[in-house]
Amino acid sequence: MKKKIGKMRGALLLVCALFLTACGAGGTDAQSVSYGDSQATVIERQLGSGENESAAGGSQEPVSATLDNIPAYSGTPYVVIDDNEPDFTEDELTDQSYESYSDQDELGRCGVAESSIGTDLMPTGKRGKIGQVKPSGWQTIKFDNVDGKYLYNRCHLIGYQLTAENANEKNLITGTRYMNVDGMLPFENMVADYIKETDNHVMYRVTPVFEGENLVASGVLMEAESVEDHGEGVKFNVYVYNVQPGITIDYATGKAALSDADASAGTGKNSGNTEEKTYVLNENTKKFHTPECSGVKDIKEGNKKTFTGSREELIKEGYSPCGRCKP
Amino acid sequence: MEVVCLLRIVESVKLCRGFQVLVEIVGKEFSGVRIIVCVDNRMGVCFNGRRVSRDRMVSGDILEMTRGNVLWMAPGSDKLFEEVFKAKEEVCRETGTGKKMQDAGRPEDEKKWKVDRDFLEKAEEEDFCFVEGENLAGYEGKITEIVLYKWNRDYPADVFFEVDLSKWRLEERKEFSGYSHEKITKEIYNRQGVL
Repeated sequence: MKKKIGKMRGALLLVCALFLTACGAGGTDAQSVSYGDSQATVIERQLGSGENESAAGGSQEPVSATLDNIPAYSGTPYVVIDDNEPDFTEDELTDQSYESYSDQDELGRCGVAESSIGTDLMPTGKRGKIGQVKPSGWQTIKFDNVDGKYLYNRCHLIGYQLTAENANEKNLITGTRYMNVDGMLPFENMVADYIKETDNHVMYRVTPVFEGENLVASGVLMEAESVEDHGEGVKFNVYVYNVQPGITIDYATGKAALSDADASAGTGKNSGNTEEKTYVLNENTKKFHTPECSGVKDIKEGNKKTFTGSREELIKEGYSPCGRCKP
Repeated sequence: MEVVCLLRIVESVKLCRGFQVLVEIVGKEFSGVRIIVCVDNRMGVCFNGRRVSRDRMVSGDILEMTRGNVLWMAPGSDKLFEEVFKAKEEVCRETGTGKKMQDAGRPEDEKKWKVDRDFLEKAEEEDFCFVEGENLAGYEGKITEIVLYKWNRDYPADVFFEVDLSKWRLEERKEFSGYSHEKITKEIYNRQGVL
């Protein structure tokens, strides 16, 4: 096993704020990113507008936006970026296992973590203790409406099941339980199981995104592409929101409180989530729709239920909004 | 497993896309296709045009289960089975068994696999259909048996298996270890009553 920890291209700092705005709003300004002391790199990413299908009916349409114009969190833990095309160059895609973690910046924040993950990097034993690490913005806060009570997890940028990193402070950020379990873990599972099954490599990169001088990341960008089969097995590019439904987070400090009636989770924007409306639920997929949504007709009668109440209430119950009608 | 439904009444069957087909098969023997689907904990099947997961033990189990029947699939899905089939051939070659495929798998497998983009349309009675990202709208009434392989894992998904299983009867369930999955659950459902 060959590890190249520290080979990193320097801490990634977002020099301009990442404004979380509604889908479709705003212009096409590029996002400026600087790598350590090197000159700022400008990235402009236009998201795709492909069509997703659903077996036996339902559908979820992709979001169209630019990276600096990521839609506000609206009930689903992640949003697809660039039509799921990761931003790896040909040179970066290698079938030689390695892993690399950025040095923390002057605020103690983590930067990009990347790896060409092979079975040789994966763990052979159970994860050790990581409680001694205090990532930037770390707070120990408990809420009754959070799974496991604790709002924050020490969240691995590259999951333990992928590169077996235990208490590496360059790989741990303050992440909500929701981002960790509902957002990042499914992608990590997909990558881990693919590698175990095929013995192939997956090029993998996780970029924490901090607004300004915030100590807690607004979210993480996760990119992956299977190497030997040129992305046929695994390919994605998603932004995972560091939010917790029902909780309002001060990203500058990590302090948090139960959301009041007018606050939306995570973005600080008032999106009117508590307004009572009528929705159509799919109890099988846990999606909710407007009554006018074209997807409603595809819902099996046994799974269909009408609900009148707030959007926030549905999200708390584990429902997520339909990608087509965006209720 | 042979599934035969004897239809004695005129029944209106609502299909996925909102149109209806009147089934008027009174006293006729009717048997449809059997579908095989692999799903995660939220019935997710695919993400970004790719299967959410795979396991050679599942592919092997499917080959075993469908032995003697036609197994339909879309282009791209056959790779899963070819890999398993080739691995078995390799084992035979290494062990020098003259019996070759008789011991390892199904000598007739290659002839029985049918790969076609429109396989749901072309599948006939008693055939198996391995379904991945295909839209089942319009075909639900043709299905008499559903074989689910559950990964028992959370994966991201944008294509889901949405057949309402409350209208189906669970006939069989078994668990086994996969090659890359700790526990895989296989469930076989039959349609309850008449269509």
